[in-house]
Amino acid sequence: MNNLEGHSDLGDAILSKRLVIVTGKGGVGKSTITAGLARLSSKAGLRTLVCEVDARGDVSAAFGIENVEFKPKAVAPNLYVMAMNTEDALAEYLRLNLRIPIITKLGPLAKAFDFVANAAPGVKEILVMGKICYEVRERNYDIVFVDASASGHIVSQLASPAGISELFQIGLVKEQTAWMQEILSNPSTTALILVVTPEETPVVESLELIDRLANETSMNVIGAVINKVMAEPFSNSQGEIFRSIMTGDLHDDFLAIAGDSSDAFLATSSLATGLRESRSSHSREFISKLPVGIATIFIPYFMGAEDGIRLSREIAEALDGELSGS
Amino acid sequence: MNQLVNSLVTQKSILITGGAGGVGKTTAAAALGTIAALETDRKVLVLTVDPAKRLADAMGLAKFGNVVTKVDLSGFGERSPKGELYAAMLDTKASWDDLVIRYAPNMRVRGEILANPIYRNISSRFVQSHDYIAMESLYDLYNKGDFDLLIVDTPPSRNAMDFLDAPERMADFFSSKLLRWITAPYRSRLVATAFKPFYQVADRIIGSDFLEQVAEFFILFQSMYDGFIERGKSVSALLRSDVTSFLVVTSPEYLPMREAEFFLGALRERHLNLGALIVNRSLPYYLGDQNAIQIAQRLIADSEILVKDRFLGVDPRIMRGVLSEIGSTYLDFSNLYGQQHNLLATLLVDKAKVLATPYLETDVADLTSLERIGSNLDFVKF
Repeated sequence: MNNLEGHSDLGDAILSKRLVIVTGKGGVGKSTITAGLARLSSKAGLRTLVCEVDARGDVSAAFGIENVEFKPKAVAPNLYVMAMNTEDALAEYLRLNLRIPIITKLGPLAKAFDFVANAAPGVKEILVMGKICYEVRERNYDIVFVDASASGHIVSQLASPAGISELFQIGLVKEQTAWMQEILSNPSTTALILVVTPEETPVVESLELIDRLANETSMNVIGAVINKVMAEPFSNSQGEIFRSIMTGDLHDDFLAIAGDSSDAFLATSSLATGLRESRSSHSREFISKLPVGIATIFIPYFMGAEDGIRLSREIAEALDGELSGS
Repeated sequence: MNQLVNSLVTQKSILITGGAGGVGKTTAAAALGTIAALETDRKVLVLTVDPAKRLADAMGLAKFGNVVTKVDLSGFGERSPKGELYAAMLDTKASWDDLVIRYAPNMRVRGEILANPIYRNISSRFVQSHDYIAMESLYDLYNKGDFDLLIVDTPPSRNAMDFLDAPERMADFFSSKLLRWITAPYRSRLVATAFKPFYQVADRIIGSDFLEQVAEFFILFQSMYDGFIERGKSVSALLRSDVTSFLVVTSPEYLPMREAEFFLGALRERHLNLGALIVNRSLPYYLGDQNAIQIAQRLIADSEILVKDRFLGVDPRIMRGVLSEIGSTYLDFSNLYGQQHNLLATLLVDKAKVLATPYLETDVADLTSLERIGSNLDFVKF
């Protein structure tokens, strides 16, 4: 379709989908990774939509814009961002399906529906998934990236079409769930990407999430992004010297050049080494327990690139490096 | 123990943590509970919604689930605890059932609600209901008076304010006209005609079977209306009273800090008490040392001069590499520290209420590290 050559298998796999859902525990960098993937896809020439499900504005922050709304906003060539909002999704749904031109004209009726959506189980979830699947079906975009809800909630969202078709015996919603299920469970259309950081809790919870997704939904996790990976500060021969500076023969010489700041330097390097060790062991554990068929890529921890837009650019570049075939 | 921490754990009866996901809310709650029980004479309960597995293990929760369990603090050697520590996991389904059992007017209604498919769905799966039930259980525990201090870790909300508003939202929900609308045609044929347009549309969208189930559920639930409204008001009042303080927890990173800012604003708007802003995993102060930054730059730029006549017996090239690595590692962390510190300085919060926990290399996996975090909680130097 487009210039997708030069990407690795996972890169190709991601960009060949119509719907890519990115999930992970809070704090792992899900939104920045989603934004990075979307940047990559738009640069590859794909008309790309990013949908932020939890309306916290993290994705918008990654693009350096504010107040993203339900109506998609262009943020770069080929790149559009929208924030999910169940009220708007419902209004749009009613407009499209019932040919009710402006739902607000119905006044309290619209409120009543919103109320049902709030109260009835699964209705919000189905509206969220419905809007996303609708964009995929209508082909307004080549690819839709979803910055999905944090771990726990995503399963109920993804399982909602199946769940709701059990709950609803008849009606439009029931009919609607069939095509949604078809999109979601088709591995050539839809894929899930899991973001994890090499720390204890995210690793454990991500592995649990993979299990739950496999058991409770028909979705495929095709890749895991291991984010915030730290580099080993010292090579083997350097490490030996560092240890000697810390506690051995070289300590006095180091004290002579670093003076009062010696302790701060050594403590920082030890902190870096310790973090690196703990993270690489969690990384190894995660990879060893990952089911077959899930590719992994590593994204470094960008120290000091703390603000949203800069971090997302760095991450997009790193993703590009990891996902391009070289 | 830090004086603010001390006044919070000795003078308050309820501490509620809130903040973005993954910032260590549960860890902060557990750490406060641990030092409160070790160093004050209070009987403390840490109530958590969804603890990480190792943390649950550390507090002995894995075995006991939602039952209140005494945490064994005997591992602190000669430092015998002055108080007691208990922990419980919140089981939302069971808590909803308790509520129904308490407020259902009779056995028949109770049975029907518990068996209603909509109710079962809401109580076990419905995410929004967790906020309400957490506050509800808290109120219940407070009134029973078995504990001196309740420390609650809130569910990871999509919206920081959800749980703050949950009791009121629930009260609104049951008193709303809309509820009467939805249930009307199932109560009276006469009213049904008036709402015909609504039902025609509703039928087409969600199907009448489902609507009927929803209506049945609401009719049943309305029988508990008074109890709910009353209760919702009491819970709100408790959250607003002086016995309760809120702890906003964040990590020093950009996105969680934005969430913290939002949360602080939400507390201000509602006139709720902010006990402290806790910045977890704060980098050490020595990273802000200007003198060290200069020397670190020299370690990189002047490594050739620096190794001359020193570090004898070591390959000067490797030695230079080590020095500039030490320098650049310091500068990287120092840069990160600087940004995080600046970010923190911009938060609209009383600086005397900002506490930090140290950055640990390893994950929090036992009571010893919880104690370490708790006793190292200290004011941030601005």
